[in-house]
Amino acid sequence: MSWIAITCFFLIIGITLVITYFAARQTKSAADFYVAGGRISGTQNGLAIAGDFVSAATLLGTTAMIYSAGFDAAIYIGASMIAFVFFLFLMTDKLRQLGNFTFVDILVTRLEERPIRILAATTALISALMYLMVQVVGAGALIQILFNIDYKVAVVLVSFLMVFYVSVGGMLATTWVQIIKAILLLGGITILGVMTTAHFDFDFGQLYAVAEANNAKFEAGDIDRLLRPGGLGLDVWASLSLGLGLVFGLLGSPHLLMRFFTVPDARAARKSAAVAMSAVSFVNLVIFFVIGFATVALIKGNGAYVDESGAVQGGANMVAVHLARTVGGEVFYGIMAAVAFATILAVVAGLTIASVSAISHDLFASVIRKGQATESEEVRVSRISTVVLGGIVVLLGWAFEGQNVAYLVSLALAVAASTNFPLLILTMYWPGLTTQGAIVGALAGLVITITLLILGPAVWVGVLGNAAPVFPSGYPALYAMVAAFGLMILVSKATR
Amino acid sequence: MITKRLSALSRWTVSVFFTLYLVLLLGVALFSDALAAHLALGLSMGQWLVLILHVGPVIMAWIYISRGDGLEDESASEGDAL
Repeated sequence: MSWIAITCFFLIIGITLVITYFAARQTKSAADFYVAGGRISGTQNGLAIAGDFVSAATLLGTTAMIYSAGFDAAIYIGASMIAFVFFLFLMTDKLRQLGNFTFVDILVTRLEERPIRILAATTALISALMYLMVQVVGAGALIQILFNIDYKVAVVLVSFLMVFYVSVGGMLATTWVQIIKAILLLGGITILGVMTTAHFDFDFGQLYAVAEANNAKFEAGDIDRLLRPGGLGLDVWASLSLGLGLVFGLLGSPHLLMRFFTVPDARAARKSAAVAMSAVSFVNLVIFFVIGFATVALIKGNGAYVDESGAVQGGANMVAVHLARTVGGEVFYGIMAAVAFATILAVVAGLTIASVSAISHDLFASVIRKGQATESEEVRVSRISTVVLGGIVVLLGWAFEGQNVAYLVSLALAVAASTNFPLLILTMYWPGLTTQGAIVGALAGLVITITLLILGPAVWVGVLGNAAPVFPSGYPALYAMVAAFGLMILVSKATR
Repeated sequence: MITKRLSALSRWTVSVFFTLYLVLLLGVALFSDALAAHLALGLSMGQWLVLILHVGPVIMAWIYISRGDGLEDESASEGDAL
């Protein structure tokens, strides 16, 4: 355990706590709590979106994916860029013009309020909770390896911090935690990329040659498998289902949609998307072209980090952190570990505020109190919900220990892709959508996704311990999305 | 009515880059050898595809921002949300 890592850890936690203190003093109304009063600038919001977007799944999970499956990680990073294309060119203007606190506000501009709020808040909550669980799994593994403490204790620690930031500081604290994280991450990734290429005398050819040779030494298969797609063993349907599920899942993610309500107008919303897209593009490219392949070259088979069975110390999700130690020594290792931790905290805070807004704004204030709740009541329910969510996340984090976080993200996004996204995009672009069509389609999407997830390899085998999955594919999004869109259109046509 | 016509730039950008992403998804499963084949500057076709998918949308995004398509007639509705 490095004292530098510990110092960086406590420094970051200290800074975020100070931010939370000052944010709490400015968080008085419901608008302050949910969307920072709509006062965030386009550039600030863009950095915060990048902070939300580049999660543990990107920094840790995608690097781990390249380490273990080579080129196929391109499906994950490509999805984030296509999601931004859809966000910027099809959705940001409408989100900002029609949304208030949550994306459900947009749905009820055209559809019947009560049933749609109950339905959409439920699907938003489920998708955000699953994504939250993914981040906590990554954070737990990171803290476990750095502090050499039990994984379960680490998960509790992260959940406690998450509850504190959100319940005390609301969206303003969350936004600033995300901005600081994005700046740290961009700086950290840049330095790691430069140090890694310097390790190979700034010769990419040498980096790839060493990576391919090392991969061939420790993995059965072709010497150039790193650049040859197929590492994930996907057939055409699985590939399409994974990719489209990631893209449309991101577009239906409540924590990302909510960020577009924090800026004052459509122009700032567009700028947010463009700034975020630029930052995410840079991070993805450095991870894909440098860091990922460098982990194969320098970590695979390295006795300092890998045991005789090939298992990486702390799990494959930690290869990026191990690379930082290899090329930058203890100081840089500590800094990158702290950056990864800040990454997780920021995303977790954003997800939590999206989840509690579904409970307090959509369910409590709009459905249960039928718009009669006072702002202070709404904010109080938000804070109580945050604490309850923290407990649920701890249990989920314990259950999914050791799973690849990038893969878990695909499951979380499958729910958003087959429920929130069809609801939102059809509300925006298809005047024929009816309340009945929306309800039947979204429920079908949710039920099919959850059923296929439970019967698939991740839960049926990985969690429940059965020998073989009932549903063979680990990627259910395509099937659930087609069913959701199809039923929304068919039922809407039948009930007009 | 919520729906509004998209600009030609928006339609073009979404269509082109979404198609390229579909090519990547299909390529991973159906023509992996082609994606692994070297194309230029020491990079494989798959790596070039990844590069285009990351650089192209960023360029189009800033062009879109600088042109401000469709923003001039929306000032009236900007204050509705909060």
